Amino acid sequence: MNFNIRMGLPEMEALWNDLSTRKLQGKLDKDEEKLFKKLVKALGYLAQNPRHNSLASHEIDDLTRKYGIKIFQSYLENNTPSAGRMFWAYGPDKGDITILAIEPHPEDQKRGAYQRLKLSAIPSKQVKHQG
Amino acid sequence: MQVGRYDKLLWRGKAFPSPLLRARLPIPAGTPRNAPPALAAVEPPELQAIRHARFCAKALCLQLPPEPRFELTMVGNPTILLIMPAATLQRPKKLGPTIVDQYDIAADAKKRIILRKARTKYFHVKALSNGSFLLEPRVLVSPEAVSARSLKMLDKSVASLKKGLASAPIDLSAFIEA
Repeated sequence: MNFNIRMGLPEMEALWNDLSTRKLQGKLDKDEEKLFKKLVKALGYLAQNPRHNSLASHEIDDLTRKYGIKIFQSYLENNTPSAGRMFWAYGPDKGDITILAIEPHPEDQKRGAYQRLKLSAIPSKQVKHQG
Repeated sequence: MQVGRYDKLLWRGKAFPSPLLRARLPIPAGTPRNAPPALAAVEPPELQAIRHARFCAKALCLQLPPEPRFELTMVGNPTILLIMPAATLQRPKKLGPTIVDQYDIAADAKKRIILRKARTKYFHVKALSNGSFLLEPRVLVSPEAVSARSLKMLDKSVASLKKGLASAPIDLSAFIEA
């Protein structure tokens, strides 16, 4: 069974329209080209089988609890730490999958990435020896 | 003898009239000057009932709270209930951080110091105006965390999806073939 892939409104639809239009016009830059290629490949897998091995799809319990509907996460690439991810849910109709959001690849290998590292307060009673 | 107000003190369960009341009580002949008067004559029926209840409780080996040391009046509703013990448990004290190690150290040529036995890799450093440095342990944000921008996008998309709104199905064939 093939699923219909839909984009969430309004931002995901705008993002997809922008990327696909510029792809057809050949106006994507290098990073956007890479992201679009991964996105199309992942969406192809998702349409065929949402549980495809390459996607490593799994439900995000916190988001499911927050929004009241089942929210799934799939990876845009394989064997890559901190890979790009997309969030999706079934619906609005049967046989539909709606892409809700995309979390692109974090820029952790570029110059200046150290300054952009985000640190958060350590959770109480979870102090572990690191590095 | 008519006494308008039962004004007396209780001390360890024994009733003693106040000095003013005592002055007005009839003292039998031959009684020493400092001896208390006959208690039954001055004890009101309410106090007798309480004393009887305590006597019965002791006979039945019931746990009762300690007797109040002083009870000034017996006017109106009783404010001290014998069967209601007061809470005496202390709240647990919150323990703050304790010093587990302290040492003197010198900065090197590049004004760096080495932390010994540091339990975390990352710290947030505050340099204070008095020359002190305050270090707080930090951890890297989990890679599973969703960025604020993506969460905002999720909020809008989910709101639309709950209303049954989504874009038209997209056609990937052109891009997959390319």
